[in-house]
Amino acid sequence: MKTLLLTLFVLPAGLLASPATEVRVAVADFQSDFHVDQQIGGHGSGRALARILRADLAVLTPLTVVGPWDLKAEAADVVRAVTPAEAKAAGESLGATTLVSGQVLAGPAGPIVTARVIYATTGRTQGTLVQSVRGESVADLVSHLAAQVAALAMAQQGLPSGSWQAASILGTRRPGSHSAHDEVACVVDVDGRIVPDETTKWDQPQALSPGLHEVYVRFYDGQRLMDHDFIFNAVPGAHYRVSFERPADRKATVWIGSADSGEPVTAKAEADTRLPPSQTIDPQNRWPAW
Amino acid sequence: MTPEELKSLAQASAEPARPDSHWEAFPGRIVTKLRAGVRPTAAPRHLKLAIALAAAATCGLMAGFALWHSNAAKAGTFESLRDGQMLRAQLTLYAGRLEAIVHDRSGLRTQLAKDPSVATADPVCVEIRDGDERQVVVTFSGQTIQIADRTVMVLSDGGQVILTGRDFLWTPSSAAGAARRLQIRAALVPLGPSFTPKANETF
Repeated sequence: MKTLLLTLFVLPAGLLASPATEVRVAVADFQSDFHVDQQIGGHGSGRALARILRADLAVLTPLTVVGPWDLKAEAADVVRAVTPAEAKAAGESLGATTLVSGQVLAGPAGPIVTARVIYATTGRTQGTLVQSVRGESVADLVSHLAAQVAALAMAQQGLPSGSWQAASILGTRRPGSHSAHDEVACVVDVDGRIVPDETTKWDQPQALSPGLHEVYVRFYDGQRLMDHDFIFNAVPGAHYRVSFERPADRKATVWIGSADSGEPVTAKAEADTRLPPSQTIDPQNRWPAW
Repeated sequence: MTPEELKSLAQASAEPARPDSHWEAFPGRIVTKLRAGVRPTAAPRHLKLAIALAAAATCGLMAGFALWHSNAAKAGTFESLRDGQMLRAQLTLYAGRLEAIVHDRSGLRTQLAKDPSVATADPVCVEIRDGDERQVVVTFSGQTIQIADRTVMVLSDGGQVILTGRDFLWTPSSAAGAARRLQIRAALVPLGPSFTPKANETF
């Protein structure tokens, strides 16, 4: 009988009293204007940035991304105060504990992004900001923003602050099966950040901030260069490796996989003979299309 | 009307209401009247010169004191509002309804919501100087304020204060858009760990 009473009354009460450990985040498309679109070199930069932010938040444990929060909802407007009742209603309809909206502004050295973080249960509203420094990629900028948003969201729920380490990626080298030269698959650039002398420095790990990245990889057999670019979501602290297969008389197939388990995290793709990315794609123009 | 009736009427009548400006200027008017009643006596020429110089020096000192005192009082508004005492008092009176305490050239006032619908967490004190105009606002992270005819969102991450709006961004270390022509400072307002508003608690 005592056990039954304990099960019926005490246990549910205990569950209700414990702090919510799930952080479910709904992100609205960010607001941006003509000036920032012009600075970045694309259209709809606020929407693109929010998409990257959702991906970045999704790899930060214990966060889960839900939604998205519809920007057309009045409460998502970053220059309108949200009442606790509005926050609660939006949170319940989206299944979210945290609501995020924000805007992108043109700064002196690149975009400045502000994010508003609302705890749906109480309407408590806080904010954070990242400012581009010269040479920093948008992917890294948004990754930093995601970590700051996650820290605020967790603090609002009374959870201890998280720590998310950078991931890393390196290449592979094998003695050549079809030529005297070694075969190398390596990283050429990460989000537009070129790795100098990439084929000889294939074993130098390149840092990846947690979240979405565009990684340009290269296969080299001493005669031909074959490239492919991948977009994938780097998990904090993970180690990745560029791998390849080279069947006889066929193009090389390249992919990115876990350096520990060998499991691919991207599709296996045939590498194409291309010019180096620095000559084909302006890094600033890449991310708005994501 | 008999003398008794007149006396009774005089005793029953209330003193006419006077505006605050009347009492602020009252000591000055008394001094002026007293001075007007003094008949200057003939004084030697060198004494007149000495009096004129002394008067000029006094005027200079008074003007300097007035300017210094005026600035100190305005600067003190920010300091006095950011210490949280007034905010605590207003939150006790208007729990869940207080949107902001504003001090500008028209004086000190509170902005209240109709219903208890304000998330009163992370209080922030902001001072904005736009030319000769000066405004000090105490509000909460997530509320909007008017700065130079713009609606600006006040945000805090628990340490830094951010003001953001359309073509407007200010942080303690940078300003963009319309914020560049303004002088702004901001600080968090401590409420103390023991303070909790009565209604709509959000801490």
